[in-house]
Amino acid sequence: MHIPEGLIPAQQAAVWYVPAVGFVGAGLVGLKRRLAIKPEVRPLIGLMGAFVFVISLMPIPVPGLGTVSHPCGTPMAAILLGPLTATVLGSVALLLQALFFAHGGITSWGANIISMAVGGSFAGFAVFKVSRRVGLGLGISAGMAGLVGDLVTYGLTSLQLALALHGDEPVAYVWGAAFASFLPTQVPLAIAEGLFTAGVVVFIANQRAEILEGVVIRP
Amino acid sequence: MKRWILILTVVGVFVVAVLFTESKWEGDVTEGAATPLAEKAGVEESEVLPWKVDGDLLLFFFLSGGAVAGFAAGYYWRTLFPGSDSRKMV
Repeated sequence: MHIPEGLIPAQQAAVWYVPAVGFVGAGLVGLKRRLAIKPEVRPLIGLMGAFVFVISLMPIPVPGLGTVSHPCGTPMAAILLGPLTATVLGSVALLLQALFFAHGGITSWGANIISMAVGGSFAGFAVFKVSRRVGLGLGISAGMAGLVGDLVTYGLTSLQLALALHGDEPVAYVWGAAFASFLPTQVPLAIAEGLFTAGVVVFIANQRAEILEGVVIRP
Repeated sequence: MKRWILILTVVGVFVVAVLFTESKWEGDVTEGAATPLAEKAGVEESEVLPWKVDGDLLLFFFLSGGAVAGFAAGYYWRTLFPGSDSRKMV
């Protein structure tokens, strides 16, 4: 989902920056407030930042297809820390990846923030919350959050690519074609991300339940 | 025990499947999806930074940043992990 440098026209890149700056700004304000009230959350924030950075950079091979892709990590960060904090962590990870690993870009940073940091975090968090509200188990809710957050990220990336590169063809058609080209690789990875998210959240609930205090909605 | 056998089996099947897939494993899936669209639209990927950084200079900066971050984490260890140093380490 890291859209490379130069593929999005400058005007569109600027438009993507506007909501991205809004979300990251709101996240930073919330983070500052949160750290003032609850400073002990700092290690978890640092750990999740490192986690999102590594997991969203890791090229995981998909057997049979010969392709590689990566999970997002932002759904899990959103479950543990809230979607706005996860947005901040995702945007920092994307900046470092663009600067040091040529993974993504600076002009496409805003668009990548919207797809992975905002889309992955908010979609994952919403699915987790709704799943818990309707009475689904912790593991299933977290798993669905990971899976949906991952797919929403790639759906948004497809939309951004379609808007930027549709040429004479309808945007909806190009979006569908781009998303369809992602699916064979990304569906197995989304399932893996769901399983991993479920495993980690359940493990934390068993070992350090206080981390999930105030986050996990008991049905 | 059963859980570990299951995990090892899944990992083993994954590794074998990866090894037997004929591919060079090049490029992220986004590149695979974006490249045909970009070629069709006549757009090319460009360098991230407007200036050229040679050789391992970026690696140097990244590792230097990592070292500074590691030092900061160690320096503020008690602030970050209050109470976790109750057991004396020799």
